[in-house]
This record gives sequence, structure tokens and C-alpha cells, in this order.
Amino acid sequence: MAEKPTNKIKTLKKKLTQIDARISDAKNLARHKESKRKRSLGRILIMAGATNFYNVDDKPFNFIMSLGGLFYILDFQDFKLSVILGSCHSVISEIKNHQELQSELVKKSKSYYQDYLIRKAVSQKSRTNKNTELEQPLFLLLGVLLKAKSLLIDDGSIDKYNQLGDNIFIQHKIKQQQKYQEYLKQKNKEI
Amino acid sequence: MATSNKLQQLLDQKAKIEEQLQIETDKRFIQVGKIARQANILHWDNKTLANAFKFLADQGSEEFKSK
Repeated sequence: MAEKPTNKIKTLKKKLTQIDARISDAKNLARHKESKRKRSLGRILIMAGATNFYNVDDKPFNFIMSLGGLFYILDFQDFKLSVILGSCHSVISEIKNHQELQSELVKKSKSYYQDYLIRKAVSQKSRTNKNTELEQPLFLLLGVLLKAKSLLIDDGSIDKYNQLGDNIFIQHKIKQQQKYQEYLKQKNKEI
Repeated sequence: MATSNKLQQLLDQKAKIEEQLQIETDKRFIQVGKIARQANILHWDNKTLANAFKFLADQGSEEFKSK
């Protein structure tokens, strides 16, 4: 016997409630993953030498996620971490002592960011953005990422940057181990 | 990436269910309309109909509570 429309409506409404709960869970999971990814990307940017231009010591802990958020502005978040690290590191090494190159990158990133805001406003229609302003020093880092991304896309030598990134990771790990050993020594002395 | 795929699947599923719900609700509206015609109340104005339905709904929920 066919199900009564009233029962069908009840069943469908129940299903809708269930699916809404699952959508909410999936959104939370996606948000959590995105935060984790942003944190990793922020750490990578610091490891690549972002502290040459920007002092992050006096910033709150979760500020590192804002640095990771810069990658999302450029849609640069899905590359392998070692590739990102390698390319960012080589850009930072190149511009570290060149004021002119730095100003050029800031100029480019400001123009890119303006376009990005327009694109975002169009895609979100009337929704207003609460926080659209970037801190001035972040424009330089955005410029670094712009150049790093273009290196990967135009140059095509992903393997080279992958290798470079892996080496930096290894060096970083060795440094961390040395720091830990020193900490242990210090602790033993105190005891 | 997998998470966003799953989310998309769920959103697609939701859209399908909403579509089905709309179809079933439309069917139900037709049934209710037919009952109203049989009861010869189609010529009542909307306000009177709304009051009558409200009265019936209240009575129905009272009966449901007393059971």
C-alpha cells in the first residue's frame, strides 16, 4: 500500500532535520581542517623567514593562523608544504636585502588585494565584510607569496623547491633537537 | 578536499529531499482543497477559514493532550 502523503511529509521533514545536523557536523569538520591547515601554513611562512620583515613575537598565539590565511587569498593553500616552504624561502632570500624589490612586491600585492576584495564582494553579493583591512607589513608577505606562487607556476620546477623545502625541514628538525638537548642539560644542572 | 566533497554530497541530498517535500506538500494542498470543496467552505473568506482552521488545530491539540 502506498504511503499516505501526511506520513511522507513527516518522514521527509525528519530526514531533512537529520541531514541538517549532518551538514552542520561536516561544516564544523571542514572549518577545523581549514584552521589546522592555516596554522601549518603560517608556521611554514615563519620557517621560510617571514620574521625578517615582521615581528610575530608580540602577536597573539592564533595570529599564526592569520599568516596562513594569506595563502587562501591567493588560492595557494593546496600545494605540498615542502614545495611552499622552498619557494617562499627562495623569494625571501632574494628580497631580504633589497628595499626596491620589497616595495615592488608591496605595490603588486596591494593591487592584487584590491581586486581580491572586489571579487569577494561580487561573489558574496550584499554580504558585508567585517574585516577587510590588512596590516601594512602583511602586504609584503602577501607579495612574497604572490611571487612564490608565480615561481611555481611559471618556472615549473616544483621538484627543485620540494628538495629545498625538505632540506629546510631537516635543518629545522636538527635545530629543534639541539634546543631540546640544551634544555635537558639545563634542567639536569638545576637538579 | 574529501570533507568538502562530503559536504557537497550532503547539500545535494538536502536539495533532493527539499524537492520531494515540496512535491508532497503540493499534493497535500490539493487534498485539503478537495476536502474544503466537499465541505462547501470554498466561498468563505480567508480570515474566516484561518479562524476555523486555528480553532480546529487548537481543539485537535487539546484532544491529543487529553489522550
